[in-house]
Amino acid sequence: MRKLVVGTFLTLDGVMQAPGGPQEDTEGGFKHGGWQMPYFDEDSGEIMNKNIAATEALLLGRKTYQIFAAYWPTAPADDPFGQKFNSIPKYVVSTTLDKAEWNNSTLIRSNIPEEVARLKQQPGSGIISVTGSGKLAQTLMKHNLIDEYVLWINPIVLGSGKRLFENEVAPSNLKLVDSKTTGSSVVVLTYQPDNK
Amino acid sequence: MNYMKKLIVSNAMSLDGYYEGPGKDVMALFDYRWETYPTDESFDAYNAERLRAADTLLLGRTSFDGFKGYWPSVADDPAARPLEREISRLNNAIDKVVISDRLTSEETEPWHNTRILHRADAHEQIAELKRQSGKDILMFGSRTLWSDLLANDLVDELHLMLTPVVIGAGTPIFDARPPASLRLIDTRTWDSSGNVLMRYAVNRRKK
Repeated sequence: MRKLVVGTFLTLDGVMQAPGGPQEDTEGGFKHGGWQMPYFDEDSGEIMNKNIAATEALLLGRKTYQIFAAYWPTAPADDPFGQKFNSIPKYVVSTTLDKAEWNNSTLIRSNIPEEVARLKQQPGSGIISVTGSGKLAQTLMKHNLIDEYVLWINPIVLGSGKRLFENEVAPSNLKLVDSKTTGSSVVVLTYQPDNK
Repeated sequence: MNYMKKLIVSNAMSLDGYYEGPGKDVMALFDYRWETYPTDESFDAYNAERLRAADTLLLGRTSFDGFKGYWPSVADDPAARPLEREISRLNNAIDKVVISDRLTSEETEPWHNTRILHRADAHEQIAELKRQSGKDILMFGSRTLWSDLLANDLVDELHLMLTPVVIGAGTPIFDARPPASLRLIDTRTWDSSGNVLMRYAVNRRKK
């Protein structure tokens, strides 16, 4: 059974929208895109490297998939993240995409909870990693398919933007399993749902 | 302006950023304990630690009424846990300042060591308090008040106890982007708890 891990950058007020750049996702008139960049330092890189080393597959929503598919194939050949992401299997959840052309990609168009549960049951002990993909994460949350959250809490409050935990998600208890900090004031927290 | 005393805000927050649950129920942030972390006393322990380091408890009206309605008698309640009795003793003994235009001194009963400041005077009076020497000025709860003080450059540290629960609805702890930046001082975790204490210094704006 493989582990499904949702990893995401969050502000202190829980916003996850467009951490990487101004044009990443401007939906809802969001003007703070790129807010995470000042806080990504060497410590963050090290933690990220370890997490990515254990990743066997990526499970992505349509928007994050398109951002990744446009960027990673063009990354320098010696970029270790690029090598990894370009080679491992990618699963993209979308009802609107016709095809997924990035190397080793598979489209999931329907029966999303069942398909994801099947992915988790494939042999192996590695991690299926969900990054970004807020809407998909909420679907997975609702269907109790998330085994672990890795939340990068950044020292900033935005007051608006899409959140990982939207209002009216079912209340749930979590267990804290790890806590790290970086030199640039980011707290990296790992939680597992306490309902299993 | 040279401040001698630190103003420290210490609050709990759910993992999804709430200050309290639906119906202003603050216990929504802590109900998880009984199932997942039944012996967790970290929040009480940290509150006692902050109270011991303070000589003034600064509160908004809502939190003042809430605390005054609960804490005074806990010190003498044999059924209460020792840590709760200590918090009660500390809360009873500490000088309290409450910001309110309507509260009367009779209404502070039995907490006679309470000073009432009107809202219009709050910023100047709190700044004056910070210029005096002594231990910390501490704020528990009081979200509306500390949001205003944070926006007006009067808060030195923000201590957030992040509880391991998603509650899905309630009052968000932050309303808007504050005009201040935060630097992580440290974090703390406990063996028997899922809480993470995150302590931030508020960077003062250049005047």
